Amino acid sequence: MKARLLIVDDSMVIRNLIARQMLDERLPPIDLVGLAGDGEQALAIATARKPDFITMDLTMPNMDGEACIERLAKVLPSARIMVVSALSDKTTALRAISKGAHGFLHKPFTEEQLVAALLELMS
Amino acid sequence: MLRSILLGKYRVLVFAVAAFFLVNVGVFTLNFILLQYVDRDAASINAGGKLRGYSQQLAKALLTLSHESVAGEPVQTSQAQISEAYQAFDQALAQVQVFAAATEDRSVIEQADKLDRQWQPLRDAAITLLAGAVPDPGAIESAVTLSNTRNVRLMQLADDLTAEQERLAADRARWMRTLQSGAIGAALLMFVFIVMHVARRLGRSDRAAEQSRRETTDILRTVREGLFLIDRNGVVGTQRSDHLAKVIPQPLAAGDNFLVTLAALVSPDTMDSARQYIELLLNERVKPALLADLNPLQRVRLNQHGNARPKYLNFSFQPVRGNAGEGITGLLVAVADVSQEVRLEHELASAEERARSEVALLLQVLDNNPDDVDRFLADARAKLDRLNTTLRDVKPDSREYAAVVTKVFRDVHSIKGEAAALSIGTVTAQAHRFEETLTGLRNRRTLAGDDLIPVATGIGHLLQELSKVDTVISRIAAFARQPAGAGVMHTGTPAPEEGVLQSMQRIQRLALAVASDLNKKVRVETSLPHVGVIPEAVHRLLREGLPQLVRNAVVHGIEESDERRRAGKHEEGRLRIELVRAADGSLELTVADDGRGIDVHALRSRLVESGHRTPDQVAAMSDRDVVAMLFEPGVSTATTVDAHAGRGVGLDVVGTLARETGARLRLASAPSAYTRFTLQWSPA
Repeated sequence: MKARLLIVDDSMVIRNLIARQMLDERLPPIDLVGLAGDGEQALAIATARKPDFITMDLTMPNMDGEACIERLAKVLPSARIMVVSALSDKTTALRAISKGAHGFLHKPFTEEQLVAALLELMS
Repeated sequence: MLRSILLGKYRVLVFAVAAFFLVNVGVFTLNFILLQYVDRDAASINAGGKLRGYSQQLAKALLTLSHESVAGEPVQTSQAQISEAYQAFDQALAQVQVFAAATEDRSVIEQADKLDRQWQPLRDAAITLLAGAVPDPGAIESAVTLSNTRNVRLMQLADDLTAEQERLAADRARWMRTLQSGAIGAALLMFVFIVMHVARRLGRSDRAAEQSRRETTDILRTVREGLFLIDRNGVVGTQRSDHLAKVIPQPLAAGDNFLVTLAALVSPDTMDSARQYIELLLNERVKPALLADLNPLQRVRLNQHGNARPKYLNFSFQPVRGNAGEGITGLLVAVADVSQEVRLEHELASAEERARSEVALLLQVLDNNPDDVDRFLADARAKLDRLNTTLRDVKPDSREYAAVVTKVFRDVHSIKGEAAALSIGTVTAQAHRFEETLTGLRNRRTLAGDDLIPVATGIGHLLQELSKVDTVISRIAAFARQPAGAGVMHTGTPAPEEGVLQSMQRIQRLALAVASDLNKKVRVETSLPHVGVIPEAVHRLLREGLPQLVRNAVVHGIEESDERRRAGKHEEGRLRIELVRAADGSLELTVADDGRGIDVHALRSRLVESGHRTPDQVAAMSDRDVVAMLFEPGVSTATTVDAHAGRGVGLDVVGTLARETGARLRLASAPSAYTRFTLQWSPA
């Protein structure tokens, strides 16, 4: 069964960067269930399409990543979430981890780092 | 427990003590048994001695009886004495025989038997005398004779027997002494062994303890880091490295709470993160790898008063696990002063940044998908333009200011993220610096209007960095089209320069991107008839001024589709960019749009409202002078028909560039019809 992934980031550039990496042969087959530009969209997509894995930006309009992780923990506790954030957001990232994030990837990331982080998240 | 003592390091000691007790118990038991022998020996010797007395007593009684019988005196008393004496002898002899048998010594047994054989005839003779009231004188005579002959022998034999028994007792006593001495000696030896063993063991463990104590002290004295342990509550342990006092400006003693001390050293934000981080480190369920990059106390800047050089510390934490099953009991904290490193790094980074040539930027840009970069630049510009508008229109209210700062922060953060994703380091760095300024403002409780000045400056700087990327891209494009071996561009060919062509294409893309972002439709037409060699001055304007003019035209000139339809225009706006060389050799750049034009009337009011001119001054100005004000630095340019858009960005920049490159700048416009900028350079 393919791993179901949801990408959440308010930047289209970053969303595309991550999405493009999905085809990397080192990764297991991945089904991209959606791209969300903010926390509210993410929550809606996650509720409807139940992804197994989520990459989550923290600084976003409408609902930020931290709040979204908190809600997802209740709505979809089975999803493993990887925070993708700049290191200047350490406090937020730490809070996100304590609220249930399973992985952390700091921006900017290289393709190698992204693949490694996804493998770790999916292991 | 018992098993571990028996088989562990105390095994030898346990066996030694057990043996010591066994030996002691054995000696006591033996003593007890031997003492019984001593008693029996004494009784036996005593009985042997008595035999002698009883034999004598019997001899004497027989003589008395003999005398009494001859004298015809009553003999009953003598008879009674004889009876008493022989019975006593019998008893003592029986006792001696029992003792002799018990000794199992042949010589003693023989002695006793001899004594018995000597005694029996005398005993029989004595018993005969007791048969009647008046004993037969002949029997008396024979008994006396027998007694006289045997008495001496009996006494002799009793003496010998006693001597034998004494010899035996003495042997036994000697043996007992030897045995006891041996046992006591063995016990003493064991005791000495135990004491020495314990002493050696204690000495060894003392030496080991002393050595590890000394090594710990050496480590703690020598290590060039502050080292200490904290428990789960943050309480500092007793062992700390000497260097700690040099690193941390605050004293940190055993029993102090590290978190309290830390709170005085770092900013409240860092402190919050630190608490969170330490809490997660102590959480068994959180993988340490997850936290590896998130240590907020890595290269943390300390709070300082005055103008002291900034001090940076590096705190690193290692979870300490107790015995098996105990889990994480605390953290080992290592702290180092990294001020110098950080300073050097900062210097190096700024030097690098200064030295970072456009070539480096070029390489960074080349690494990316061109569409990504274009999209990024267009998005970022559009964001910053919108922020400029927001900034200008903000209501004078502290809460509004805060909302604006938050909005700017979010957009700048996003630009930074994208720039970092695309490895455009210069923009990332600029955005990062700007973000720091904004963070400072976000932490303020109240904001005044003046506080927004650095925000406006920051936006400007970021736009400048984006322009640099533009420049690089145009150069890349120019080189990409340059035929190999063609050399530099100044070849005097009449064809339009490839660089210019690239600039135009880029400008076209920019216009389309901005338009799409604003939901407008625009058609860009470029015209480049044979311009030939272009001087650097014109290149500079194309690079730095043209994007401003084009963006202005799209953002502020061209209307949205609905508005255009209402005005009876084609819903697609038209933007024309033209670079031509006139017959006299002069170059002319035109940027024209068929948008809403400039409302001179509104511009006049605006000049008065903004306080740049008095109503009288404005009334005295010609339309031409009024429009020229658009190119003056510092004049707010919200002067077009639709004040919402505001012709804000960079017309003063264009004015300045025109002056610096020696161009004549003209502006023609008709309300609701068109706006046309023309720059003309005379031939060199």
